[in-house]
Amino acid sequence: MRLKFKLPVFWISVALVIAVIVHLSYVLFTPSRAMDAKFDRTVAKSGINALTVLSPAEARSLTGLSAAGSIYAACPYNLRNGDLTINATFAARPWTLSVYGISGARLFSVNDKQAGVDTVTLEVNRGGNIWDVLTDHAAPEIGDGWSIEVKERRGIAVLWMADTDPVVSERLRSELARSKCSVAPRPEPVVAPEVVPEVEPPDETVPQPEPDDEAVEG
Amino acid sequence: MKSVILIVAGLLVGYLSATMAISQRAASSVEPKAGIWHDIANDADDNIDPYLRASYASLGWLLPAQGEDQLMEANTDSDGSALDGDCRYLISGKSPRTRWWQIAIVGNEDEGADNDPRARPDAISSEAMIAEADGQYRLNISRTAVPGNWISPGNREDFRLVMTLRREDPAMTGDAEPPTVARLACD
Repeated sequence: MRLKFKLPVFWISVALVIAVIVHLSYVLFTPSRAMDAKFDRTVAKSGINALTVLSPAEARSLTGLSAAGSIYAACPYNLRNGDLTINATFAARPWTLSVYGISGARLFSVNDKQAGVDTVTLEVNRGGNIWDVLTDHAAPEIGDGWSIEVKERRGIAVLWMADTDPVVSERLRSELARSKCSVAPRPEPVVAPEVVPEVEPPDETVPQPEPDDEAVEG
Repeated sequence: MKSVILIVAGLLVGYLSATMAISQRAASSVEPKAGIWHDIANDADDNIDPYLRASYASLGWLLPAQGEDQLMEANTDSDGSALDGDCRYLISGKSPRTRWWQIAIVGNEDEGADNDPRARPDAISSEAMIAEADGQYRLNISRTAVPGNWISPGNREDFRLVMTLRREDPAMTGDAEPPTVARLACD
C-alpha cells in the first residue's frame, strides 16, 4: 500500500523535472540553433572567416527582413585560431557594421554617422575568463571603439549598405566586395629573458668614515 | 505504463510551456505606436531576455542594430480589416526624417514570395520612393504593376507590412506620423 502511494509521487517528480529541463533547453537553445543554421548557410556560401556579398534571397534568409534597397555582406567567423580583423570598405552611403555571436546576441554595431569615415577596421578578439568562455553568454567588452573582446568563439559579422537604383547597384556591390575579413594567428607569448643583476663596483664617491682621532692616537 | 505516460506528459508540458512563454514574451514586446502601427523588435539590450531572443530566432530574425533601427508592423488597413493579397491598397504618409527607411510586405509563411523581386518588388526603400514636393509619398500595393511607387504582395494570400526606419543614433526619433493604409478595391 505504501509502495503504491510512493510510486506516482516519484514519477510525477520525474515528469516535473523533465518538463523543466525541456522548457529551459527549448528556450535557451532555440536562438543558438537558428543562428547555427544561418552560420552554416553563410559558411557554405563564403567559407569560414571570409566575406561575401549576399544575394537578396540570401540576405533575407540571414536577416529575416526584405533586402529591397539594401546590399548585405556577411562574414561567418571562428576565433579558434586567432583574432578576426574586418576591413570594411563602404561607399559614401548609409551603412552599418554589426557583429553577432552564435547565441544570436548582438555584440557590436556601428554606422556611417558614428564612424565619420567609410573605411573602417574592426578587430574582434576572443577574451574573458574561463567561465565566460565556457558559458559563451557574457557581454562583450568594447575597447577603443575599433576592437571588441567577445566571449563567443563563433558568430557572424553583417555589413549593410543602402542600395540605390540598379544602374549603380552593381558598382556599389563590387565596392562592398572589396571588404575583407580574416583571422590572424595570435602571436606566441614572448618569454622575457632572465635578467641577471650585475654586481656593481662599490661607489667611490661614497664618503668613507673619518678615522677616529682618539683611536689613532691610542 | 503510468511512468511512461507521466514522462511523455512531462515532455509535452515542457515543450508547450516553452512555446507559450516565447509567444507571450514576443507579444508583450509589441507596443502600439500610432494608428494601426506597432513597434516591434525595438527593445533595449537590457530588456532582451532569453525568451525574447528565442522569439526573434523563431521568426528567423537577427536582432536589429541597437538604437539604430526602429521596426513597425501593421497587420490591418486603416479601417481595421486584415491585409488581403487580392486587394489593392494605397499607403500615404510623410517621409520620415531618417537616413534610410523601407516599407516591406511580409507573409506569415513566405512561400508566396516572388523569386524575382525586380519583376514584382515586395519592398521599397527611401532611395527608390518618389516623394512629392511637400515630402508626402503615395505607395500602391497591388498584384499587378501600377504607375508610380508600387509594391506587390506576389502570390501571398494575406500579409503584413513592416516599416524599417534606420536612424543615425537613438536620440533621433525620426518621427513622422506612420502612414495610413487605405483599401481601394478587391478582386
